[in-house]
Amino acid sequence: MRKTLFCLLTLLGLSLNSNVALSAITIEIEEGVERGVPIANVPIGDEDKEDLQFSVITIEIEEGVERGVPIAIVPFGGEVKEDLQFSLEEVIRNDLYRTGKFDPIPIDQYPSHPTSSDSVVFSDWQLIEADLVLIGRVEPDEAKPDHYRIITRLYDSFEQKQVFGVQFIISADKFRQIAHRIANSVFEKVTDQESSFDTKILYTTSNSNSNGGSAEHALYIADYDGYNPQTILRTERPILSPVWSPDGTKIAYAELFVGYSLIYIQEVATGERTSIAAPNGYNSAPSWSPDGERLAFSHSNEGNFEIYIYSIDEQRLTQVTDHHQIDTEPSWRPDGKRLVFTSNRGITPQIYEAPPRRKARAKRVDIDGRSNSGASYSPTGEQLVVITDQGIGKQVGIYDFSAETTRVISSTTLDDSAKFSPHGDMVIHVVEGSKRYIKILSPDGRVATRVPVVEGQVKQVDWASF
Amino acid sequence: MYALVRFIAVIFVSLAFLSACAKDPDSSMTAVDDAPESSEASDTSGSQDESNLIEMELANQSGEEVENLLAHTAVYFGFDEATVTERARQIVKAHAEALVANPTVMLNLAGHADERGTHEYNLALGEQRANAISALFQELGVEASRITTVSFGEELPAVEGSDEESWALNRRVEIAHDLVQ
Repeated sequence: MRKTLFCLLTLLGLSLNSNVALSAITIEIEEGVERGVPIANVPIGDEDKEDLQFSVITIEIEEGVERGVPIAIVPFGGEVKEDLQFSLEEVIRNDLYRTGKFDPIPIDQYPSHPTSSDSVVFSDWQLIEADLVLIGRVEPDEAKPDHYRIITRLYDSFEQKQVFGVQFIISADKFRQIAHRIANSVFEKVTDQESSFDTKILYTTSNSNSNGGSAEHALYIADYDGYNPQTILRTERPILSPVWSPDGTKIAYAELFVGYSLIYIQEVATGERTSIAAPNGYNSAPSWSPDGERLAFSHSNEGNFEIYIYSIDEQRLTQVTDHHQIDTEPSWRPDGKRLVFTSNRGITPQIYEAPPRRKARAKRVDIDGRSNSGASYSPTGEQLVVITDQGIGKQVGIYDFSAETTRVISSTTLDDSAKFSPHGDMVIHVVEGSKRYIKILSPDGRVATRVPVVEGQVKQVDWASF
Repeated sequence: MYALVRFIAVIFVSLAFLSACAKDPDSSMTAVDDAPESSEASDTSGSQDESNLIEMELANQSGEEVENLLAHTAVYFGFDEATVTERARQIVKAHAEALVANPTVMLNLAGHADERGTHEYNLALGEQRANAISALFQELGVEASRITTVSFGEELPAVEGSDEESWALNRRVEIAHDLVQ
């Protein structure tokens, strides 16, 4: 039943999209097939490089799950004098691949490596069943020194026509961003939706240590794929619950002291930070309201965590929950009318939903599993991503409000800190364990890729909502 | 059923007795792990063993045994739980007796969680565990004004490791006061 429904939904979803590439979408049932696409090396030190060999883990193809649109991404022609350490086609390929909506065809199968429109022979690409063919080339720009002209075109090989052609004039330091934008153009043409390829993530790390040592904790901002990392904060105390403000200019997080914790709001551009005027005790799990004017958070003084809302400008507090068991991890619905949070009022931790007002009545969200925690909404508010325990460990699950179904999408069992991408095209989370890392999943769980981090053991991650 | 539970409890005590000056959490956990196996083995051996154990239980009332329990400065919890186990109760009782006899000594309880689950929930769970132990100390005569509780969530594991054994050692409340080092 689930299988059939999923296929129908997928077909429906795709048929609503543009007519590009529809002709060759086939449903293929594969069991246990694993494929991987190499990901670019990141210039972040030798120890990490080895690790990156595993950056693309596996594609876990569930029974009955259909494949993505087959696309050939031909190596771009031309040369640049800068040492880029990556290629445009690699960035584009990895972007598209991560969403699960595309299956990039391995380069060694390509009949030719065209870089301009006159050398694309559609019949050759039809033979390898490449619905879409992306080509491009880079030329030095005559007018602007140190600038390049990137010309790229997407073709539908079965329709035998160009889907789009774009040109960018840009310096080499912007190449990754342009590659993300090209990938976004492809994604939009096929799915009719925007991608999250040109967005940022926020993550915390700690130097692994046991009792006694002075650990160093850090907060980083990076491109969604882990590149261009910047340090935002270093401290000797654990940093919890990092979150972006809706407009991306600020971040909030909790810093854990001995016996209490404080929530800080920090300006991304200046690094300036202020702690919010909350009572003594533990303050954690901040979540910005969609309008950016309030923070929901969890507070405990002398023994019990409750959900509060803090109005940032007025510095006013509203207590939302009042229960003798744990209430924590509030997260706003995108329309601002509900909060979800975790409570163990029913013995095991489960997800509850309540309106964001004083002494609100909470209702259990009926997610399967012996426990559920860390819920947050999809950008449309129709789904929740949660850390769910279905009996084999902590995994990433997606709960659908209208279908009332819970679907596990990760294959790992020590998952934490799961969030939707700002456009819902991917899910990010942390895998705990002896070697912690960040993983991006396609929402159907078919594709799992690893995100490189700078140093230390990654702890939590958030995806910018802008 | 009651007999079996009581039996396991007795085993805990007696193993603690046998392991004598166990100072690190490791050896105390070994004792706990061993207990269910011992009780299974006893199923066939009948009531004779049980009467021996009752004798051991009586022996445990001695002052010497209290010293041994004081060597344990951490008590452990089940997965996702803040319920005080019988073993934890015995350790807390020993500390409570010492604290009642030394009314100026302050007590700090630090709650911790294993790495599984979210950081935020674990911070709350660490606090709930510390509070559960605090409530027991108060029940046993230690004034609330002498007790401070803190939570570290999953941020300060006692041992690094991602297996059942490590997780069991990390789900803990650490008991700190001047009568123990």
